[in-house]
Amino acid sequence: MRPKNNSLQITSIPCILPLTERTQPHKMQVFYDFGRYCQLLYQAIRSSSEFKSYYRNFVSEMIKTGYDSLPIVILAGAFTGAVLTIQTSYQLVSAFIPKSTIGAIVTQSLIIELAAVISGLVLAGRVGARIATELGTMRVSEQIDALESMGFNSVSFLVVPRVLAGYVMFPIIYIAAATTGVAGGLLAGIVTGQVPMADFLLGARTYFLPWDIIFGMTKSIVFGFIITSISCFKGYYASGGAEGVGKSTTNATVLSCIFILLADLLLAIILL
Amino acid sequence: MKNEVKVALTIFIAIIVAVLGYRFMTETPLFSQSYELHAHFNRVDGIVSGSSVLMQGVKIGTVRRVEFLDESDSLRVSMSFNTTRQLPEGSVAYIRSFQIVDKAIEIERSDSGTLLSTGGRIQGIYDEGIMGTVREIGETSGRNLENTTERLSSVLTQVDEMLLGGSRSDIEQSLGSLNQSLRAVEQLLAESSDDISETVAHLRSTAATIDTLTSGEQEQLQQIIANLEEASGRFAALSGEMDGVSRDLSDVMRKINEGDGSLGRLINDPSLYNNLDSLSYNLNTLIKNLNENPRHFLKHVRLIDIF
Repeated sequence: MRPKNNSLQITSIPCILPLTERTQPHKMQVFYDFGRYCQLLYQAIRSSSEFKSYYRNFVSEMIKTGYDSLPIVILAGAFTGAVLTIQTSYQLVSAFIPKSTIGAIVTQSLIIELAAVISGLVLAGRVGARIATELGTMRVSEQIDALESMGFNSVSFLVVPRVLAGYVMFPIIYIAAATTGVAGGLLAGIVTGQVPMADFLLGARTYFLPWDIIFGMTKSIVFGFIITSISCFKGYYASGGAEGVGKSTTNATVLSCIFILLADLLLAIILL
Repeated sequence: MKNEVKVALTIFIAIIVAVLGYRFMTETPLFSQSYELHAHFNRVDGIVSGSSVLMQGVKIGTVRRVEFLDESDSLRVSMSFNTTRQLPEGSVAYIRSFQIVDKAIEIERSDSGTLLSTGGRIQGIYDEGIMGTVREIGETSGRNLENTTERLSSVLTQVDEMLLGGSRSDIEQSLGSLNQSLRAVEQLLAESSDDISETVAHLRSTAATIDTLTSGEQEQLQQIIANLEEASGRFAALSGEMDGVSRDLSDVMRKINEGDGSLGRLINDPSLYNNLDSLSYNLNTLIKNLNENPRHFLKHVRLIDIF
């Protein structure tokens, strides 16, 4: 749905995207945005071979996305596990249901679903907002244009390292969330006296399947990609000064959350 | 610390945590090699990877895999054990139910001294347990029920045939006759109803007459009853006396029987009889001799002397 004369610029790398047409809302905004998003991804893939240009950014992005997010993710995971154990044991009071069922339910839900989704939603706020704000500010203060004018490929310099960092670090974050979640659940069961350790572990181990970990990790990779790519897209195409940056940040977070939930559903349908 | 080192450490630690967590969840010993054995079964209802392997009720291992063996049409169950629990050769793996629904493999150790090394094979037996018994009972009762139903249906068929065949007309005839008899009885009753009512009326008047008769003679009747009562009282006294008499008599009889007293001796002692008997015999002989030979007795007797 873009004007004809801009189609040439997609293929030219580095690409200078026109700023003037973005300010007015398009008739079919959704498709327009999706088209631009696909263009951005295409350019990112095209320029992902220029490893040298983004290596330093890649490392610092991995630190910001993964290393710095670990505390909040560990906290979220542990509390989710603990709450899950306490609430499940509150609900399962029948004499015919063994206590080990609680362990099975908590572990399964954490590994399959919650570790990936909770960390995804938390990081949509933390990482997504940061990326969108960074790129948005760079865009509105014309730093991206400056990069382009100096001959840098802004996509490979700004977008690729962030998306790649998401790919690499989200499985790590998933491992942290799942491990601390199960540990937190186990600990909550022991501390409250609701589920003895042996029962919890019996249930957790009986229903444990290696495929669940692969499934959860696939989810976390997909979520990492969704968060970083949508935030980059929203920040990269921000416009309208400080207000525009705020708007694009909000959009990035909200869209990331929505697409995380949507992808969660799709993956559950496809892979289970 | 440099950023690169931080990233590398994070990833490295995450991978180690993932591997250890996986081994922990699958109950593989965290830092040592596990010990694996196989058992072949025909069926493995309820056994999945992760099921418990027990020995004397204690969990000693976990089921790793359940695979189909195409060549022998059976299932191979791989179990991993802690290395401290090496099993002897000739051990048997039973699939049994625990807590009705939970299935687990139970190992029964043999006494053999040689231990199985990893990858070894032990005998596998599918033990149906209590559910098998229940199923068997169910099957037997089902068969019995089937037989019963068959018989019942054949009986019903026979009854049906009987009703449809000649017997039906017989029954109908019987019912008809019964109907007729009842009708005749009814008619009879209707005809003689006057007589019956008359008889009843007579009976009633007779009863009334008796009533009037007795009502006039009430005092006399009472007198008679009083006399009867007195007589019966006398009878009672008399019978008491009679009792005493009979007691005395029985006492006497007892004494006689025992040979007590003269009468008793007379009856019970045979000596008198014997004496009398011998006396009569002697008399007999004497008379006989006298008859035959009177001279002998009268030898010294002269007529003159006599006269």
